[in-house]
Amino acid sequence: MKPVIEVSGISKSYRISHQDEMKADYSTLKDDFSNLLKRPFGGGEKINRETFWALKDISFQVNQGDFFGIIGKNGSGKSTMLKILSRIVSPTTGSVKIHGRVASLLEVGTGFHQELTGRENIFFNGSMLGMSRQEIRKKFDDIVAFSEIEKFLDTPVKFYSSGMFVRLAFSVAAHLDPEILILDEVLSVGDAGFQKKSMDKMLSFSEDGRTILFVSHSMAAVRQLCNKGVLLNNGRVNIVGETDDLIDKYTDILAAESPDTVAKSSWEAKKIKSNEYFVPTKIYITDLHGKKMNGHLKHAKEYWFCIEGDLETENEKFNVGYSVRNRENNLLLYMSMSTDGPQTGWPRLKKGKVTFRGKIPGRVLNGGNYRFSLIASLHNEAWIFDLEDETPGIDVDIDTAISASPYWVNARSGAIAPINKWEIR
Amino acid sequence: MRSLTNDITIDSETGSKISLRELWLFRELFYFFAWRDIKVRYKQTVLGAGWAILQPLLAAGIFTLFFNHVAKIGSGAPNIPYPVFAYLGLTFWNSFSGAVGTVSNSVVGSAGLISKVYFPRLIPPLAATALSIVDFMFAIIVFFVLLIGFRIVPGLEGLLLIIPSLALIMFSAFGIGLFFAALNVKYRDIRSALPYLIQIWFFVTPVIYPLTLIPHRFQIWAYLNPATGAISSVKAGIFHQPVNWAGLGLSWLSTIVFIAMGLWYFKRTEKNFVDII
Repeated sequence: MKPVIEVSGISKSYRISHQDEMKADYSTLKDDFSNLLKRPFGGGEKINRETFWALKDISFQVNQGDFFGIIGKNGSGKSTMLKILSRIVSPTTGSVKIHGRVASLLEVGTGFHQELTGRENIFFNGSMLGMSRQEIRKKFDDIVAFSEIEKFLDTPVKFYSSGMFVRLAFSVAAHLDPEILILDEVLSVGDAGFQKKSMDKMLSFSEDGRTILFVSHSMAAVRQLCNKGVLLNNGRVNIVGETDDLIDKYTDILAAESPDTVAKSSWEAKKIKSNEYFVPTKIYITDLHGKKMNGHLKHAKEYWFCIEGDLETENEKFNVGYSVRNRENNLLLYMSMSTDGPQTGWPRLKKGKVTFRGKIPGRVLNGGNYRFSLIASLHNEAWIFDLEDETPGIDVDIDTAISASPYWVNARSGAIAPINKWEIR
Repeated sequence: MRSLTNDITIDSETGSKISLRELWLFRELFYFFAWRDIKVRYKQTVLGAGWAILQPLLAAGIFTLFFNHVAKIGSGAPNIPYPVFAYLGLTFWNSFSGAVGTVSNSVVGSAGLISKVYFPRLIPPLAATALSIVDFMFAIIVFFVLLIGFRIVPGLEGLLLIIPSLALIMFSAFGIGLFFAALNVKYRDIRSALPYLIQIWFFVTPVIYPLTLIPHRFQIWAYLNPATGAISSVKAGIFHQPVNWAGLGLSWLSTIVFIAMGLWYFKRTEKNFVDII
């Protein structure tokens, strides 16, 4: 495969002023004059400026036909990278070589003017994005039909609803015909029906063997669309490679840097209610091969919910399990060893160290955040860790890529989301 | 799709040279820019392009009243009616001041576009210049109506000088505006300071008074101001007076210097526009 974009050693620095950090980096004449007066020969006290490297030595290649993701958290430099690739800002060092006709879409509706009509805006915006007048004329009817705003074509866009505005803007963009498309979060616009149309357009674009570079905050979208990508962290390349590796790495970074905002992906004995039967020491989730998960699960896969601890008293009625609550703290599932089999199958447990694990079924929970909590009891007799207590538990998030349907951006409606079979007779 | 070639290289030098080929490639965008500005300017106005005529007309009326009747400043010759004299000067002056103003604000005014799409950054200033030419076209038509009304036969030399003088005005306004446009990105003070600068410039340019009001030995230096060259030579030509060709040449020379300076400063700072705009 021939690389169509070669990024080699790109760095970008900004000067940031500590004098007044809230102020944007443009000065008034007064500032510069007074600084000149204070130190006419350049000596003396300097303004406290510091060089900040938004990007440092970035290199990667994009091959023809790739759906290439650029991911990273806010401030990782991905927007700067995108602006360099779009020729909006110039790099401080390094170079990018692009082979092929490029169109870049950093927002929808660039250059739309409130006073102009829909028709006029189609022409101006189309030209802005790189279409020739002839090309716009040729595609005009398609653009209008795609946007579903025929009736308001000669109305100034200031009278449009925001939905109409976005639909028209996206329609123009969707009719670009480049070999390489650079996209920034312009995907999730409009209502569900329009999203589906936009999505189909994107996918057909990609299926034509054209190259797409895509920046998004939606991990689900990146996972669904991109085959490859680069993960940026603090302006440096963390990893270049397959999407799944990237996302795993990315969630690790998030988990490491801000444990409060990201799922608490395992639990280790801290303060717990003392009891005479069972002292849990560790709770975590693994995949079916026993690999510990970091709190991000796929909807379609099965996992193990694992409970390690010390059994203090032998009792044949001893029972463990887990409960699942959603963000609103509603109980969605209750799973326990004893309720899932006949009494004859209950295990005979010995005192001492023990690990229980129960399956987490695939294709049940909807995309979203959940809390998995420990349950323990003497079956039908007494609670050890009951449903109401603040029992030991872990936070998990499940991705929204539930099926192959293109409604992939958000979770489904409803508490659970099994995949159903449909028949037509 | 518009594309210079199929291969692009982006590095720290990107955009620091003027590529005429690229400007040519983006000529349609230039056209759309100018077209949009004209459309937007006259949307939701009752008079529309009438403003292009009304502004110099009203100004000429006011100056006739206060300068001519009250302050007794004339057109420099008894056979030249002051209102026609002042109106001619004002049509050219308005194009000049209008172009300097819109070109100076063109880059900051397009900040939203510049930070989201690539195109040669010279396009907004160029389109702003084109806008002033359109206004001039409306205003000059009324000048001919005035000539008929005052029964004046214009000199052929003057008629032939209208287009070159407009060119002189536009080139110099473009060069000066370009410099301020780039400076405006860094120092927003320009936006506030510019109206005063233009006002002072107006009074040092023989728009509403004849050049002969300036002592003779200083007159040639007044031609360093391109607006003086354009306005004085058209006036002289139209009203059958000798045109100062040496002065006109000097005005063109200083215009070339203005353009060179404007382009140099603009291109030098262009690649940092988005970082500080």
